[in-house]
Amino acid sequence: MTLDRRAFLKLASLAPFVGASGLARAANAPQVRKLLVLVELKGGNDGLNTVIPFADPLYASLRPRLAVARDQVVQLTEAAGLHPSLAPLKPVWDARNLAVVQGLGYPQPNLSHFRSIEIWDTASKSDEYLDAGWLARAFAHSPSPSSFAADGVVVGPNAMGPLGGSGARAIALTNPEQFLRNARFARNEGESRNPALSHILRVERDVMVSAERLQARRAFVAPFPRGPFGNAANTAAQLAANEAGIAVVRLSLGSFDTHANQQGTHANLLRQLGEGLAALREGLVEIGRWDSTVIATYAEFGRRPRENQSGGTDHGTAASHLVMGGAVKGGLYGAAPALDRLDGGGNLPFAVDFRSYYATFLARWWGMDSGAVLGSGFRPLEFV
Amino acid sequence: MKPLMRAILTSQAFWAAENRGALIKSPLDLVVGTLRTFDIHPTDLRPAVFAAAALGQNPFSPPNVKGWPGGDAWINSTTLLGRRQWLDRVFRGSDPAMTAMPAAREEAAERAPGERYRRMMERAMADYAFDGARFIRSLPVSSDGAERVDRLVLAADAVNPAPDDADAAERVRVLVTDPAYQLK
Repeated sequence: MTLDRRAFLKLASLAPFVGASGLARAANAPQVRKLLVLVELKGGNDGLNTVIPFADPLYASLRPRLAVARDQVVQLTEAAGLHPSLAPLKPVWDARNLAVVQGLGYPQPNLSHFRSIEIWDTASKSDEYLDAGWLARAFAHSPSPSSFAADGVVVGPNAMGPLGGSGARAIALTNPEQFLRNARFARNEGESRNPALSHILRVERDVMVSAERLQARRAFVAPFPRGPFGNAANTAAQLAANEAGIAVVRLSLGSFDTHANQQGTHANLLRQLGEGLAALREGLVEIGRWDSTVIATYAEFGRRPRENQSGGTDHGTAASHLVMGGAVKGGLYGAAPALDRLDGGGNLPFAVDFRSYYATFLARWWGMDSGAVLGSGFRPLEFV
Repeated sequence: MKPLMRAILTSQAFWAAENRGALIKSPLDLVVGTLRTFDIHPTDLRPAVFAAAALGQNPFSPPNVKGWPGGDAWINSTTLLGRRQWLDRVFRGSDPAMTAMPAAREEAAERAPGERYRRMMERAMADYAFDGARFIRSLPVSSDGAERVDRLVLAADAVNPAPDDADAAERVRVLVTDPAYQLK
């Protein structure tokens, strides 16, 4: 966002003349900060068909058409397994580097996309309105090292989400394809035979000037999948490879809003997710950053356990999410979906408050005071 | 009138490839055009008006009698990001009417004006949403589906072509983020 960019440029221009307050700020800042890659599953991912409770007979009975057959499930434990499209993540599980956090949600869930993602982005209570994203607040409280190019980079033409509002040095890489191409064609982007399009591409490049210190120069041995999410994963790996550090990269994929004919769409999206994250892992291993990176998914909500009349699922509440990285302690966290305890609207109770999920990254990954950002009472989980 | 129309329609410039998709959409082109192209019918038009205004075109309120400067001036770093973010919101997903804001819970009188405004906008924005399933149903079944979607959505070739294995709704979601979607 430009306001942030402007604030950032102002900050950057002041750097040679750091005053007393700046020094105090710098003194508080750590010298290094590990990387968090957030992946937003836009539109509300069907957690139940992502991490599948295949041993629960209620699963098949709630989903006569949509249930994934038991022999198709990529088994993780006696009771839970991954959607077959996520098979590329099985090696991560086997290496004990994949954590599955089951039942993430919050009290009094809101079933509107826009309101619920706002709640997740700002880490607010269900009836509370906060202006800044949870990461913007975290970085306002504890800025990243001054050597860092930015606190966070939002990859793709998306809203700033958890980095929105003032407080963070955030960069919007609206056009990751352009970012990746610049490495190869030395900034000739913005030239097109169509003058109007040239203008748009030039403005897009200008937006990325704040990302000038970030480059996509690394030639990875491991190939990235084609398509937008493959490019986003490639961008994340390129950012991780940069000398100028970054604390957060936010990717997104979707829409997972599968109200009708879910099966093919969902399988395709999860395939992109699985292949993209597997490629990202290989890229991170290649540059020696797998151990200092955590990748975590989130979404505004899960979907209702009972399938609807159109071969889809409607907006639900709690859902499972995936966390992976060399420092992640693999395994199942939270509680298996309580399909026998659905509420009056047919939705799952949540097992883990999403703010505990966030507190884990703040407190255990970055060593921040998570209470100062999220309020007290959200115990971190133990997956890192 | 007839000779004039004939002259225009038979001129080379009218049909020249380099004049296709050579203009930048105004904010109203973008906002209203998106709603119309994807058959989105909001009940409250205020969010559309506010979006256009935030993107630099407050309807019926041009900067002077000459109108808006338009053209390249529509797009700067702020408005380009603003356009992308508005599209991001419309194409995230749709709230079924039943799960939209629980209006009964609101006690408007007790809220501060800022919060009331926010809630009003939030409720009004709820039906600004692309319905992928309905869009797919509205397409004729044909072998050139992907090409047809590209022609419907974009006035010029995509800068970053959409992947071939995406379904029509997913294809739309990719194409509206392409820089070429800003052209008309």
